[in-house]
Amino acid sequence: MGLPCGTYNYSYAKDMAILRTKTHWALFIALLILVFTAPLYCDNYLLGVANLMGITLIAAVGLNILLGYCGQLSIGHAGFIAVGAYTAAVLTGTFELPFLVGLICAGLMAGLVGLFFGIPSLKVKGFYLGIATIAAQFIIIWFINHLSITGGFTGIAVPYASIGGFVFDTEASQFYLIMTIAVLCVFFAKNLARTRIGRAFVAIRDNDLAAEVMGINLFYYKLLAFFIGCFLAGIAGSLLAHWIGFMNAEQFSISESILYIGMVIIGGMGSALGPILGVIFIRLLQQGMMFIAPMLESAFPALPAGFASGIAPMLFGVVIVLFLVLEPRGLSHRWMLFKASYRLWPFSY
Amino acid sequence: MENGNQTKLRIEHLSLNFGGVHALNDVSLEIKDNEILAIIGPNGAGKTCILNCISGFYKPQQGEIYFEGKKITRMRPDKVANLGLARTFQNIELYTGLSSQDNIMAARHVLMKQNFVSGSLYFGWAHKEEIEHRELVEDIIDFLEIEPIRKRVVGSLPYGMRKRVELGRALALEPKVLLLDEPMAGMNLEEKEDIARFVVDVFEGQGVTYPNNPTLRDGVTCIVLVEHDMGVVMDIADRIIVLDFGRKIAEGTPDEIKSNPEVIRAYLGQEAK
Amino acid sequence: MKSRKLLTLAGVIFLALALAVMPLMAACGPAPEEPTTPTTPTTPAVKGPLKYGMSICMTGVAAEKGSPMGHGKLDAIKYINEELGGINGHPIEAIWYDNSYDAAKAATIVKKMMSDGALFFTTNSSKMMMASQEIANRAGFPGIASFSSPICTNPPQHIYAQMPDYGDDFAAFANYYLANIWKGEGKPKLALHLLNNPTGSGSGDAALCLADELGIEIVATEEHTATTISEMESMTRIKAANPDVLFIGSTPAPSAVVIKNAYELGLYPGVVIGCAHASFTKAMVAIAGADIVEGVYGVFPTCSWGEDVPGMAKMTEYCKAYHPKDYGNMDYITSWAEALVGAEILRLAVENCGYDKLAAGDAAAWECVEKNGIQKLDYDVEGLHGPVKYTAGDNRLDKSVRVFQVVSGEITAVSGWIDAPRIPYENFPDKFPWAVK
Repeated sequence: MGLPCGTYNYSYAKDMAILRTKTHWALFIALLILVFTAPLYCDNYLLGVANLMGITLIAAVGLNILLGYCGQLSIGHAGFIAVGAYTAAVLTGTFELPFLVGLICAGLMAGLVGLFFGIPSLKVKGFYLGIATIAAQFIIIWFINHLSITGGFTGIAVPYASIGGFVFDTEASQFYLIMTIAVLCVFFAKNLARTRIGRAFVAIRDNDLAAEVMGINLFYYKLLAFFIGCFLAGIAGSLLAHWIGFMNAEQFSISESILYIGMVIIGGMGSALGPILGVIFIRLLQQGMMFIAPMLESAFPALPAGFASGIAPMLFGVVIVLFLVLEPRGLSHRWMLFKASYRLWPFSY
Repeated sequence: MENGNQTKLRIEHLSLNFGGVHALNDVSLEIKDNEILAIIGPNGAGKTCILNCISGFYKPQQGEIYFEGKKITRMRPDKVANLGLARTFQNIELYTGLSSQDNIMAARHVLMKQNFVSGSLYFGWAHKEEIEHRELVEDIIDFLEIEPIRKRVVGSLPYGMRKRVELGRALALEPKVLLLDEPMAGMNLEEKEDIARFVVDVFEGQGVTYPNNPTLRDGVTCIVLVEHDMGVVMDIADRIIVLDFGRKIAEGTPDEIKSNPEVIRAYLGQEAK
Repeated sequence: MKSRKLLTLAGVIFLALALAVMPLMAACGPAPEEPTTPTTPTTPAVKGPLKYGMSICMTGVAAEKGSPMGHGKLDAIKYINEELGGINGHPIEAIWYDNSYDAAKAATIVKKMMSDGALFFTTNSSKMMMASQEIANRAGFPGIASFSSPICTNPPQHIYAQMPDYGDDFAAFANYYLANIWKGEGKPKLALHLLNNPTGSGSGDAALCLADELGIEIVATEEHTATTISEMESMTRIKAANPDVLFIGSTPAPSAVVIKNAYELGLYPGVVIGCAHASFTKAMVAIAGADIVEGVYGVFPTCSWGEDVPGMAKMTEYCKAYHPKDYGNMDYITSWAEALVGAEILRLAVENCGYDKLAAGDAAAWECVEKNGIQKLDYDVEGLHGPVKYTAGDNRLDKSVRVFQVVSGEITAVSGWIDAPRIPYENFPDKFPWAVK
């Protein structure tokens, strides 16, 4: 299953490896080279979109661990990102601490806040937990708006990221910073998913009764999932703060939280590839929508007023609905099917 | 491995009520080493309730349960599992999204030492540990003859196969006591015989066939079998306890049970006359 | 089974098309065909375009304001290109994107506009400017915020405010109140009722900064939500503080609730009520009831529809022709005026630096637009709002508002353009650390 013809496993190490064949390695290295040379042939705008995707990906990977693997619905992810963003903003902006300190503290702070809001998960599941985590969203934003250290409603400016005197002040340097961290996060998440902790998470998701009887401490692992998921959200928040340069609580609305869930679902819950595909899909779609109204208005001046600008969100909705109807198991599942059929081609079985 | 017939699990005056329903009523029993104990009884007799009390799912109102002399009543299920009690379920409770192999690997959880840091770094320690445990899991896969479905997601497997995977998962925990809740329910004769053979093989131990896997090599010397079906039970059990309406009505060897009038009445309902 | 397959295929094709066509169309999009079709034969626009960047909240939760604003400035650009022949023969090319009121999108849009070679950019909400401003400031890319927050222009960098913000509203109203209404002895007692977002906190911050300087005592500060239905409790507290004047920084519906509750508690008439400009619209009068809000003061930074000012005729003509639904919407005026200001900036820049320098659309062009365009402004905006003129150290272009009052149910101007003094946020570094660089 799942291997190209003629590839056999002669050791468990090989069976467990992610990259099995020379082709895998070649493609993987080619992809990494392609990604890390992007600044050579992309303009600032495309790099900006890529940076946004990288930041979003880190947060989505976190949510995927929480929701996709451990099955704990969190509708407050944007709130946890906000915790990270503001922690980094305050530490590096107000207290002028180094970027890396801010980054780690942002992750830890978001993780701790996540732990607190994860406590209801011990008693409630599914949509009930979802409702409980919505509270996190509102409480966090309320605090940000009413604390003076966060700049209240006005917001807070954030300096560029810098490591040891090197300032990430161009889009390209930020791209390297963000992509490196994003690649590391995906790598960590994939490893976590395929080892002991990951199996415990999936066990809790699929059958929490059996998981407990098989010796998995639900209390510990549910909270661990919240901690890891929110830690990554905090890391993403820190990068977002340094990238945009200005934080305002309104940037972390509940619709952002829902969008993150959408990305994880569309990409494919509980797969390493899922968040990557989901983030690329949603962010590209959003960027596309950004262009579509001006294009329609200039191409068809006779359109009734408001039609062109109304079509973008409609199209956005239609594409997502179509997606959920036609591929409810996410893009990563579609990718697996494609790979399988590609390997068997031209035979039908 | 003759340790004598010392008591592994002792249940004393266990009572369990759900509202006004007495699921268990002052049940006392001992589960000894080196035996396959069967708990039988008609539907609703309270057989599964006893297992659920042992596992820590149910908190009995009265009575105590001791495992190797240690009180485990009202203990959290995962702690009970850590002591070395593994079980299967009447209605299969597998992790439907994982492959057969990962289901069994997941049961190695309590025996593995990785934390989330070493796990996410993977290379080095976690990798080595994964391989060690994978080898033990492969022994179980081999023993249960489920190699072809190793990588299949269990949600898509047929019923009999899922029962086997569940047995494998319980074995992977390296249990001192194995609790099997109707392992043969809903199976045809051939499948029942397969499972019966696995149970007996596990009990006896496989010795040199699986030299590295302690569970398979030495066997699980204490197995509790909850069954509905009298036939298989009579063949493989060393001792049988019969429950009816939450009460223990008989205890003895299969031959004694066969001729026990209380048991016959409970099963055939003579009192109804 | 077969139909399902077909459906799947259709879906995939649709998706692929939607995804593929968007960037494609964008790539070959607006540049050639859009603005180069002026119908007036007298001024054939053969000269190169001047690129005017716009980040517009056409959709999303702020579309109610964003969409008429988008229409206003695009209509104005159409008017300038078609009837005035552009700027000295150069057509204005509107490079606009829909930011959906999404901060992350806004951040990518400002980068896109810089890549596109826009000469400056505008936003129509303070939140979108905040999400864009650091990026623009760092690059030296000048921006103009139609609706702004003090943090957009303090400390002054490359972002300018088209109009006074909610804090300036308070400052102007306070000046007017002290000069024309307050007749008592000692310090007037002020109560504030603020919406729990930047709109409300803007007025509150200004009050905090100016209270001592102006000689006003703040006796109560209450907060409300945008969806409030009763403020009886908070108004009872305010009544207990016995204020002379109540200032409301909010939007129409909650302001109406606050005024109604003040009326029911017998606080109003009696106390003087002033509203910031987001509150003070016909909608508020309609929601609260004309007899209840009779005599309430408010400030507003633009003219009203139908007023006799030079720019009114053309704006009305275009609005009625292209976006009749927006007629009567004050945001359309703001935005139309923004485009006039933008055009004036481009005219100054072209005349002072020459087109070739601007055509590059690079940092040098931006500096030229800022130094020789924005900072040289001295323009009356055809009377649509107060005159725009740059003064060093103050990045607000138009600094004046007018005070209005509800008289027999109609919003009536009671003053001319009065200057809103710049608020010294930097004097309160504990409260406003952002104002100090």
